[in-house]
Amino acid sequence: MKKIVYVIFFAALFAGCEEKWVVITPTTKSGGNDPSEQKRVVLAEELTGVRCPNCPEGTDALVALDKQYGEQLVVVSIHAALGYDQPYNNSLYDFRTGKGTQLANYIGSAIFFPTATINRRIVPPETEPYLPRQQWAGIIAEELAKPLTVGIDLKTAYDANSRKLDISADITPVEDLLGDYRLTVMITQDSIVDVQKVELVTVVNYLHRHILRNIVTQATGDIISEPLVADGTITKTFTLNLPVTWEAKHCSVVAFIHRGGDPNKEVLQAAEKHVIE
Amino acid sequence: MKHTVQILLAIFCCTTTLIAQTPAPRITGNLQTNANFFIASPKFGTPSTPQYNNQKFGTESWLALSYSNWGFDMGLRFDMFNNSNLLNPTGSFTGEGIGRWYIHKEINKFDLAGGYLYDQIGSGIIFRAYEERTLMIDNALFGVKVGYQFNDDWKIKAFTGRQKRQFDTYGSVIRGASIEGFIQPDTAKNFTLAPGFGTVARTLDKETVERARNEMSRYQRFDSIQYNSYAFTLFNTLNAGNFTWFFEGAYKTKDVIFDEFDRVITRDTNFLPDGSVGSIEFDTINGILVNTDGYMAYTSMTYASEGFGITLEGKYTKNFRFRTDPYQIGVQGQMNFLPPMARQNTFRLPARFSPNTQEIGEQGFQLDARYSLSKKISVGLNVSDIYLLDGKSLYREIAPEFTFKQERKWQLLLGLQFLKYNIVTYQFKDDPEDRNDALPWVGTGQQGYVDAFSPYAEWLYKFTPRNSLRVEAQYLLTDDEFGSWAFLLAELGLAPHWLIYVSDMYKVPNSADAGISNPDKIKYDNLHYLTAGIVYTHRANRFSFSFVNQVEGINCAGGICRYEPPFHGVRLQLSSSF
Repeated sequence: MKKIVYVIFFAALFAGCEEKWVVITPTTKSGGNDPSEQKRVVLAEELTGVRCPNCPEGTDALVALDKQYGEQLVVVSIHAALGYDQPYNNSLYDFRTGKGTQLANYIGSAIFFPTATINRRIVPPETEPYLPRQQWAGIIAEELAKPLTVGIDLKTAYDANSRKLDISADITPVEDLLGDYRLTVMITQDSIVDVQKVELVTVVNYLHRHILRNIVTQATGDIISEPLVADGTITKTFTLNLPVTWEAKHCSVVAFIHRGGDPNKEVLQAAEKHVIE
Repeated sequence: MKHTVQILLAIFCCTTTLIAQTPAPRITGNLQTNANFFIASPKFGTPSTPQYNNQKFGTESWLALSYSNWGFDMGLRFDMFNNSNLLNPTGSFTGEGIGRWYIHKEINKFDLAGGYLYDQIGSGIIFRAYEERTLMIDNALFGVKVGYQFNDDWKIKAFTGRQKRQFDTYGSVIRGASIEGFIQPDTAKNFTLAPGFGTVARTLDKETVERARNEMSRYQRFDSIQYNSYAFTLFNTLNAGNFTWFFEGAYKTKDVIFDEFDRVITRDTNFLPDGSVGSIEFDTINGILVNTDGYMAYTSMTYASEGFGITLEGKYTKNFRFRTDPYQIGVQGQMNFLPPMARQNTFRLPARFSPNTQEIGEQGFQLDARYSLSKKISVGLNVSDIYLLDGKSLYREIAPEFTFKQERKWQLLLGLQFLKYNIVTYQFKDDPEDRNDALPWVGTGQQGYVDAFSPYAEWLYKFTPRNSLRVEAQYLLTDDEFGSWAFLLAELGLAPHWLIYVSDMYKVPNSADAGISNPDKIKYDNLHYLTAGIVYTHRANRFSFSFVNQVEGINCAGGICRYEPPFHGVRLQLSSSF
């Protein structure tokens, strides 16, 4: 009798061991977007630092994802990783900015690196929006599958002589949005060669990607005080002069609409435009 | 009146009988509270965390109550975290609520429980739900458990539920069962066996599988994954006279795990409009999800007789990361517990470099021996040697100890620790300045390793049976990481109520001749980390107040470690049982 009990007991545990496997197939690049139709654009904010030895692995992953998703993914690298962001003595640049650090603290706190937020989404049961790299692709796919709730049409006008940059962001909700919504506009610069710790090696000619240079709005975003009603367009404009040390051809304007609550700071839509097209 | 007396007598008799049969209701509880006041100190390099920047104060508290009545055991625990850095040492966590509740009842041979449960199978290799507050581990199983006792020697249990995460639960579902027994072939002989078998299955939720599918599809190769993973373990404890042998072997079926050491190279082909290949780009993805099986074996052999004891442990682990989902890192979402192969050092400096268990792959052994030469003198030796599966050395510790007891008046412990610690693997830190090691027998230090030599001593002197003085002196000699440290502690015990202590951890400056250019290496030179505290104990209540200056380091418990930033401030701790 006892033997029968044992057999039934363990058999019950493993009943249905045979399951239908989930097949993995290689991805293909997303593309062929109809330019007239605005699609979801996801924001990935990487928290990094020049002394962070394994952060470049995260950067590589984001660069690969950027290639995969094309214009539907915007990547920003915030150099504000606690304990890892101080430049080396032979660093040419200090990628830290006051607003960048303020932004990183506003988003949340990270435990491990590499780390990034995907649309600043908190994925239960996590309590912070910073996610490990093995989760980025999955969350990006989920975010892209969501319906568009607000569109951003970003326009830039750059005068190379004066280095004056005019930015215009047209915000058009698809549905009425109630609550605390904010617009953040920032400048990023790609392809800067400088020192970076890569695993155990301090690489002097590392190619830095998507570096946050400045936040044009408040780091926590400018509150959109106008009512966000369906099909109504709100236009926000900004003007700034690019510092001479920033190479304009590698600079981009990144804008995104996000919630302003705590902890919900979720990004609804992002947009990116090169300063020089 | 006569009838009334008879009725009262009958009620009394019945009541007395009932009281005699049923244990009296019992309520017990305990409270633990930590409060930290963060005081910025530029001299010590205050970290830019929310507590130092703005919050200034953080606390965590656990109040647990247990009630037993009517054959039931019930428990409730209130957890509170206010601006606490316990969850994330560089962050801040605030939350409060019911951290645990449970109901337990025994009905004849059945054992039933529901709620947040702590339990394990064998030594925990395939399943362990436990709490370790110093590391913010509380991976209770939120579910039900049924046990059945066949007889005095054999019992079986089964459980199912989801793992707790702070005030939430993970999405994956866990189920498991085990059978454990006790065999004594001949009651006249001291020979027993305690065999057991257990199994655990974990079913991932749909979201997790979809995210894994999206991630793995980037690797540009055909693969397949599954919702269910199963782990099996077989274990036995053999006792024969003074000899004890424990063995446990475990196997885990294919499971999607994150392997930070694995990598994949993808190829991206760009085609020209005419269909010909324009360019091919290669991307390397370091740290990937892999769908693999794993196994582990652990054994422990002990021989103990009067005045002599020796334990030899061995372990082999391959791909035995078992988490609630593949995205959990650090101490989060662990479903099992892999026994460490190094002792948990209690002295400050020998404990500075502690190894955490490597789930992806590790092999090692540990020897611990103690011999009493006389009633006064005893000697001990601990040797630990841990490697990666490819043979690369991770950790080696050789620690002889000597203890002398002079009647009940004083006691002296002397110890040495010879250490080799792979700081690259354990802390992902490098040691580029390691050119000419301070340890003469090490020679030119091996890059990526901390080679250290730490003598330590503890002297306990009893003025009276109640009043004592305890002094610790330690020195960590190394030119790796930040360099050498010295530590001194004096602790005055005035039993039964008071304990007063003061300590200093001093950063011995690096040699000016070494030509060190790395500012990180010398940033703590000549600093004194002074700490002083007072502890008051009254019965089961303990209150401590301390001013703490604590250098950054690694905090470990049971082979699980994590980085702790420096702490400067005042710490209040209260623990009370009632």
